[in-house]
Amino acid sequence: MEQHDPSASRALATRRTLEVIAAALALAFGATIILGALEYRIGWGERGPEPGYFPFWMGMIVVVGAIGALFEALFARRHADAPMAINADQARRVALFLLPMLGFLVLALIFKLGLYVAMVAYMLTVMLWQGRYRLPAALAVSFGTAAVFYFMFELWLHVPLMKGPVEAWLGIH
Amino acid sequence: MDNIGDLLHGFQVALTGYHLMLMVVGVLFGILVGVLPGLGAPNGVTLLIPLTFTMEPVSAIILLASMYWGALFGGSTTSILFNIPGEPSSVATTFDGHPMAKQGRATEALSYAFLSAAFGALFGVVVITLLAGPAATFAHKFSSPEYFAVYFLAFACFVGLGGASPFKTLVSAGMGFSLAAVGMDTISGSLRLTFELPDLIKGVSFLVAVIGLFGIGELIATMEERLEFRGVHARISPRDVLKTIAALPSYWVVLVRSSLVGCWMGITPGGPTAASFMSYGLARRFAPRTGEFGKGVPEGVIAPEAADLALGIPGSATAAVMMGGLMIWGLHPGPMLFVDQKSFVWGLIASMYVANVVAVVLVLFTVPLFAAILRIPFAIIAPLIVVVCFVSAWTVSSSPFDLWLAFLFGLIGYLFKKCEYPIAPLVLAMVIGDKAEDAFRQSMIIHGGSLGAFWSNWLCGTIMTLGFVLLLWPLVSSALQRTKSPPASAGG
Repeated sequence: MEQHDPSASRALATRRTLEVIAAALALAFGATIILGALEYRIGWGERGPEPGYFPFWMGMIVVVGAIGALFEALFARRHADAPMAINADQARRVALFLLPMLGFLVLALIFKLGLYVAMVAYMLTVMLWQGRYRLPAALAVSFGTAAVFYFMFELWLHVPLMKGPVEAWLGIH
Repeated sequence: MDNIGDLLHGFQVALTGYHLMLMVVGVLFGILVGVLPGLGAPNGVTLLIPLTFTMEPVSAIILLASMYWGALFGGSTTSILFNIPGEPSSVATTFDGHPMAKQGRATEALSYAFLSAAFGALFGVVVITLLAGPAATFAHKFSSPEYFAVYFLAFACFVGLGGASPFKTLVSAGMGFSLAAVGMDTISGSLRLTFELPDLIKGVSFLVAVIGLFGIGELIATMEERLEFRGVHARISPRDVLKTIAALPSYWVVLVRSSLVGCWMGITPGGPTAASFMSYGLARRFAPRTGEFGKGVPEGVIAPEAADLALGIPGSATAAVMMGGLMIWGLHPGPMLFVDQKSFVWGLIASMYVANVVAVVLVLFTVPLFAAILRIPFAIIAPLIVVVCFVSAWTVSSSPFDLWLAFLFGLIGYLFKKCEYPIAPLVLAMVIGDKAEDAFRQSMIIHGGSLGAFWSNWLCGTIMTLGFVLLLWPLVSSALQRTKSPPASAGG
């Protein structure tokens, strides 16, 4: 049961650590909901529950559940000898996946370049950097994707996606 | 029964070349909008309605109904292949459908989904044929307490003692209900849980949450394990489709029960999403292999799909748009249609039979095509799915905030997965939370704040009691088992 894979890389977080983090986050979420609910009356009036009633008790449920999960993580034997939850290798792969995704959002929403530009940049980055494709293939797929989305959403379905200065400069509306 | 005569006349209307062509076009278009998460049947209907202004009302409704069915089929496809439900009602299909695809059984899972959906739909059409009139009057009996009772029943069916820690289930369901409460409170008009953020006023869309939790969360987890989709090297042959067809009859209990659930939830306007969850919950609870649910059992695909499509009465949003269409074509929706517009109504019903067959043939032929998507290298398909997720999140309400939310939900989904928090209670709570709360408070207002409202008549009381029975069933059955065989289950 307590065997550890010798070939696995350095442990980054044990299952217990991860459980504690998750429970703490849930606790914070529940507390936030309760605070939000307290802006309204949380009682049971003559016409039934008042606006804050449901959010308040739902927040309480989350808090109770989170405290329970926290105790389970700390004291129950369930995860005491569970293998590590995440090792350095896995964390690196996840980070490498999330980073370009974050770049997509920053490019599209914070620099306000729109979805099309961000999607081309994102696809190019991932294919060249992680997929190790050659430039022509990556260019073809990323621009092809943008073109397909453009035809499908703008022209056919008439659902405009977010556009930025590049499209305006190219005269695409 | 002059229903039969009317129906035969209806078939004469439906079986013309022009109408068959409309069905094919409708189903194909429906599959497309269904495959794209975020774009659903309501959007599809909205987009098609302008095209139908110049058509005969019968032709128009045939086109729209076929599209609706195509959308539901399409929604299951992405649920199974990418764990991204294309339609809210296909969320439950992901629980077993996606594991099956990962095991290289994508063709099988897709075939089960389409066939059982078709079975459910045909079952529903038969029910409509027999009960068209009475069903409508029954639906009119529904008021707030009954609505609440139906949502309660759906939740009770689904949330039992799963494998997960009960605390984690509490956290998950509580989060879902809390998120559903964000935004405008429809009863009092107050803005709840918005924390002065203007973006939260419109609430947290359930679709955005699903896109993040399932689509992005799943991708992160896949990346971490460096698993490529295992379907990649699976042989995809039409023979698998045939084998599945041959195996389907052995699941007849699940099929019939799920179709009944679907019909019931169609008549009581609980909607396809609640129906599919409820049916999945029932299948899991009464299955001999309960523990294997969620790891890829055919029953887990069959149950939600059959319920999803039974009684093809489109979900509320789609129905609303279609109603709008009816008025534009100069028809007045309601029971009087059965008297005034006989050929329209029976043409529609007959076309449901035909469109069903058309849809199944079309999707079964394209199963190998869909399954082949899994052969695309992961370095291309993964970013492509990310793009589809973000674009879908955008189409929900054209709000940049939703994209950040989808990303955040992706991280939550990943953390949930790592720590074995169940995601399904969260999703179901988000779907029915708001409506359930509204129905509850409306009933309280009507009945002066007394909980007796839910047992004030036999219909509502029965549904509520059934809900409690189902909620407590796991406790009771495990207690019974313990008394029968005391030493068998030591520890846990």
